[in-house]
Amino acid sequence: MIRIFFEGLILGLSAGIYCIGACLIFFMPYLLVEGARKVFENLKKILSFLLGRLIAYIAFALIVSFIGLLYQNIFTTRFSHICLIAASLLMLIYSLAYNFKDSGFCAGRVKGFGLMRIPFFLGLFTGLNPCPPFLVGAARLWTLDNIPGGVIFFVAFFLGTSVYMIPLIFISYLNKSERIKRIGLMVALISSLWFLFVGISGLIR
Amino acid sequence: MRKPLLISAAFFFILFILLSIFSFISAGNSSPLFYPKIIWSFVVAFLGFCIYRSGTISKYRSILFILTAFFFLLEFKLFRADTTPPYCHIALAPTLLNFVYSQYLALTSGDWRLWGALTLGFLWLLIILTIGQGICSWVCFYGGIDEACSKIAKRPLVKLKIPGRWRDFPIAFLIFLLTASFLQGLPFFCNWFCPFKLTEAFWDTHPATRTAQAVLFWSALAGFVIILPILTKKRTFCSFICPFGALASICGNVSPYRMTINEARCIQCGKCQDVCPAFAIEDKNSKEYKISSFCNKCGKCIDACPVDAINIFTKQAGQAIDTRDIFVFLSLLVAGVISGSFIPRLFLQLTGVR
Repeated sequence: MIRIFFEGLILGLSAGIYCIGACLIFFMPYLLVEGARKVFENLKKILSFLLGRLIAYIAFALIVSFIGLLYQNIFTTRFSHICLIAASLLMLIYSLAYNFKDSGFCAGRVKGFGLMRIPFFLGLFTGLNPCPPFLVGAARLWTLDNIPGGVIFFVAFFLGTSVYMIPLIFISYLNKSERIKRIGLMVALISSLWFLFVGISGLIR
Repeated sequence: MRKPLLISAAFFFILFILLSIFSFISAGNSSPLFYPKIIWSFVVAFLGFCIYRSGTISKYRSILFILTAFFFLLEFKLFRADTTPPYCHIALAPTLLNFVYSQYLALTSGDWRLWGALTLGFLWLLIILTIGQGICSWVCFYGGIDEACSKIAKRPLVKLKIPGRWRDFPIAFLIFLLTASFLQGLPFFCNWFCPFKLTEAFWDTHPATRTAQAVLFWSALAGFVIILPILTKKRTFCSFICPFGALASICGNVSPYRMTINEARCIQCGKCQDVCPAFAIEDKNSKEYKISSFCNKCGKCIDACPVDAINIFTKQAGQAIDTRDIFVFLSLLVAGVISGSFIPRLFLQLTGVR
């Protein structure tokens, strides 16, 4: 078990910067818009995002370990693309509602998003993003044939990749002006549209 | 401001001498190449003479800028002898690691002047440090195509009113491109969005993805480079898409040259805002006009201002010094050197000497 743990940790540490890139493209614009001036406030949002990722990883490890090799393609292709579409849609609706928050219809939605724990859901959906490090981890899972081992492997993988999230705490120093927030919203809009396209084309292929 | 004949001639002479020295060094042992280089140096210096003598920046700058873009298109996309055209000089490798390796090869082979995208990037940074965002309207060999299209109609057929906040879109696009390129290890902009590549070499092999790339390419080219500039007389691709322009607007702030409106002189006629092709002049409730960091110092607003309220200044010890002539001279020098590295070769190719 210790060996499996370190295997996951090293995979997370070595490929984590790439893995974070996949999550960052959704989460960084969100933090640019919503990030608080206080580091502690940002930490809460990041922990919420990480919790979403952790749950996604554990659930993935459990389900895949139970089901086994037979349906592996469904989880690494279709299911992860559906999660990518869900994350994209979440960010798309969020950025559109925020862009048009002056209209009566969107103002209520923006308030709703405040209550929705967006970081958690973003973490949950992007956790199952079909990025290469995640697929490498999934491939290792097929060969383990061990349910607790699979969970430990992905928890360690999560810890390894989470190290790269630490700098995000300081993003609040960037969003001091309305202009930066506006740019963050635009990045969210472009990213969500792009990954919506990637997710849909992934499902079609 | 018009300069006397003698001073204009002095500027012409110095510029011609400097460009000729560059021609002499860069031509090396190739004597046939030296003569077209000298001719091109003369053309650039003569356009500089016209700017100083007439006091009109934009008209003659535009001629040089469009000629550079046109010849660049011919040389790099159609007539390049050592590669199979059409060819793109920026995205040389299909993946990030190949790209890094190509830079290594470029540097070690000594052919870095033409092949090293990183070394070209370094050159770009040096230019940014000197003339700042001016690169977008004096040197950029793609911007000239946009500008040429914006010159076709005599007056704007459509008045484009876009909320000021969307002027920041290229910065957001740049952030997205950097993250996505890193994520995929691919030249993402070239693969998907660049309307100037004129090559299918970067397109995906999957038919559906290839079709999507083709649709994006043709719509970006037709919409933002041709149709919108013709209709609005604005450089819409440079203003709303180009990520290099966004980067120049950020890095260009280190350049000492600033386009500034003299508030005491300004009569708020709004002509500068109307003619600005880069949507870089912000209207503060029609009472005050402000030039944003997206200004690429094309000089149109200087020429259009009826009361000479706009000029290029450099701040020195709290004082604003008029540095318009120096800026124009530097920009012509940079534009002459960059264009002089490929246009004379094209002259030779077109005349059949080489």
